[in-house]
Amino acid sequence: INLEYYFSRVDNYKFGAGTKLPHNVVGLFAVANSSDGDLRPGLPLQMIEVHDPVRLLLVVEQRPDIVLRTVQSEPSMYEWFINEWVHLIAVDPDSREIYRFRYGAFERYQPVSAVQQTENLAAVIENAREMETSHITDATRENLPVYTLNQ
Amino acid sequence: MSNLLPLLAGLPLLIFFISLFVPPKQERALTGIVTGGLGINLLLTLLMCFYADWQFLDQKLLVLYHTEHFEFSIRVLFDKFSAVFTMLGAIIILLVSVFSRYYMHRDPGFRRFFSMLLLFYSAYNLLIISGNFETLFIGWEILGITSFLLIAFYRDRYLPVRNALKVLSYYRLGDICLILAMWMSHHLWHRNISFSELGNTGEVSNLFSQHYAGAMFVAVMILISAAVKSAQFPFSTWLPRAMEGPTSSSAIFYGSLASHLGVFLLLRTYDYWSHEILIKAGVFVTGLFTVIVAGGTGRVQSTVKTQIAYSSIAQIGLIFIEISQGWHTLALVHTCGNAFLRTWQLLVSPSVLNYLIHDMFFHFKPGPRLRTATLTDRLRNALYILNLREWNLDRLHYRFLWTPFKAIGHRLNFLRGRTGFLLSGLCLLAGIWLLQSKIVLPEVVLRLSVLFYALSGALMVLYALAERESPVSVWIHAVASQLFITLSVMLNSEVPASQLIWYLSGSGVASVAGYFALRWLIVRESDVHLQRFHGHAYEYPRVAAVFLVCCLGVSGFPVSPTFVGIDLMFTHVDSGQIVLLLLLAVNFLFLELCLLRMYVRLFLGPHQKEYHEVAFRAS
Repeated sequence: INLEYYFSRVDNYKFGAGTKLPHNVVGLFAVANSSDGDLRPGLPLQMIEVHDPVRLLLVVEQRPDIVLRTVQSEPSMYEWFINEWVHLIAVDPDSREIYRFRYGAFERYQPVSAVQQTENLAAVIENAREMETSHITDATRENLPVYTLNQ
Repeated sequence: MSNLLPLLAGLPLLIFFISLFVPPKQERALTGIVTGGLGINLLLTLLMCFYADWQFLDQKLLVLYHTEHFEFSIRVLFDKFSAVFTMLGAIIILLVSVFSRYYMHRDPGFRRFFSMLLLFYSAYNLLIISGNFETLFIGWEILGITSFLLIAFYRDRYLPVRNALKVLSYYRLGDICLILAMWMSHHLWHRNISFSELGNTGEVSNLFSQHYAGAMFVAVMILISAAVKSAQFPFSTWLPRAMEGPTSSSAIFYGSLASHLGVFLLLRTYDYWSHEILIKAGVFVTGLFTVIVAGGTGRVQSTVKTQIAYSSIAQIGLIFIEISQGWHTLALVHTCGNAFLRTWQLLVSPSVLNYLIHDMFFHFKPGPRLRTATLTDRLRNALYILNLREWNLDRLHYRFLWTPFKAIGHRLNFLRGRTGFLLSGLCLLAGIWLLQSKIVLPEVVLRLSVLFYALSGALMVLYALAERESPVSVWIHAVASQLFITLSVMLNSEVPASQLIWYLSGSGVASVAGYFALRWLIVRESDVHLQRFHGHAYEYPRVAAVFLVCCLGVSGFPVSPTFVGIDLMFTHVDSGQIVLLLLLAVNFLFLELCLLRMYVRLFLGPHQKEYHEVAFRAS
């Protein structure tokens, strides 16, 4: 389902079903755009413009070497991580440092933006800049950085 | 009360113009205006129907052009047929626009859709309330173009655009038949008649007894126009291919309103042809054949919308049979029933799976056991294949109706280059010199020159239809063909200067503007030819719109005075000049088609640049 969503989102004209408006049901098992034309694979435009397909990000609270040994233990699982289908983050429980899995090893992650301190998290969320449309180029500009909460 | 009548067509037109200025993303504002306006229109229609108390309202609104022999006037007429059809139209369009408000949400063509819908509705109302052929024809033409634009709504795909042009060619055939009917009736009655005058049985029967051939010609042309519009046999093939637009527009056009206009035309002119047994038989036979062909084809369709389309056509065939027998009330009830049923069916057709999948699972019938085919099996299979091929109507049309003209056009490729321009220019100058000089030519030479210029005009249009390389050449030759036609008519009989101005002003302005629009595009895009679709409307939507209006202006669409001028030109053709008439008909038929073919190839279709998503050709 994820891949169907993803490919329909990437190119809705070729991999997806296009807009649902001209859809014509063919024999109770498929849709085509009208009386001529090919059957449409994938999902229609109206289904996939609600969400942005984003790769799964796994955050594991464990030392990076242990996490690395674990994911490498099973080759079919390791495929997911080494081929970048899924992102993997290890947070060291003692030093609270973030390690990112990249190119087969864990490397320290430097936050891009400066980490700020705040008393009132709710105010920060409410006053953040809202995205103009739900298209992915605007959605990624929505400024809600990830914080680590130090208790 | 009669003052309200023009509002029925005028109010949607006003809202159409307003809708052009609403910002495209403001869905609520646009739908508020549209729904409000259509609601007011529904109230007005109710008022007309009930307070007018079925009175016979017949009024001349304004006279566009007047000579002693010819009067182009806008007339309105309101009787029971108008009442029924306007009521039908008002309810259905309000229904569909409320539906479309949610259905078309976030579609990039949202505003375009509603504008086209409003223009269609105002043309429909103008057609229904029209009191003479001229007003009817204005509505007819505008309806044809909005139909074309709504089928090509998804203008960035290949199939909708191709099918839109195909539907337009059938519509244009119907237009030309109506023009010919108007021409002959003008010659028979020596004035421009109105529909109420068709009810003078004495005059009509007089006409039939004295000028039988002419009167029959008018009736046959009306029948062909009605058959084309209502997709009757043998013109049934365009309707299923027209389901390319959004579902709600398909519902409006091909389920209900537009496809019943053939019925309306026949009902309006019933008094004219009803006592002539041959025409009655023609209507009956058309309806009967349609029932057989479309009924059969509908049963073998694999898609739901085409199945509804063919069923609708078959029902309209039955309505034609009812009209031929004179059962008007039954025909009106049947029309309303069919219209509402098909609207509903088409609007719910995308979710037909919901309704039928339960049925399919729980009422499964296994196929019959294999056995050698009996005679009934073989007959059944033969009928199945025959209906699947749509009785070969599409192929026959292509082979005998369109391809011969295209073949002629291909032979005329020499017109493309310098020699072509030089030749045409010389002929044009020779013609103008002939007109100016007071040389008295022998009758034969004059007749031949008239035919020569008409033939050249027709051939130039056919060349433009088949041209594949140079759009500028197409434009120039299309415009030049109009000049040749004018020359031919001027040589044929005396044409006063005012009529010339009416004819040439509109198309002249449109030609110049269109030429500059074309040049504008060619300067910016490197390869502009007509071998495939370019899709430049993606980058230049405004230029595309301007160019479309110019194409329509040159071909005599009711945006310019040329529309009246075409009627005027035809009045100068004598009723005996069959060849000249045919050449003029060919000219006007293919002129709009060749210009719109160029518009479609340059601006519509899959965009040739690939920095954004482009659909597959067969999608």
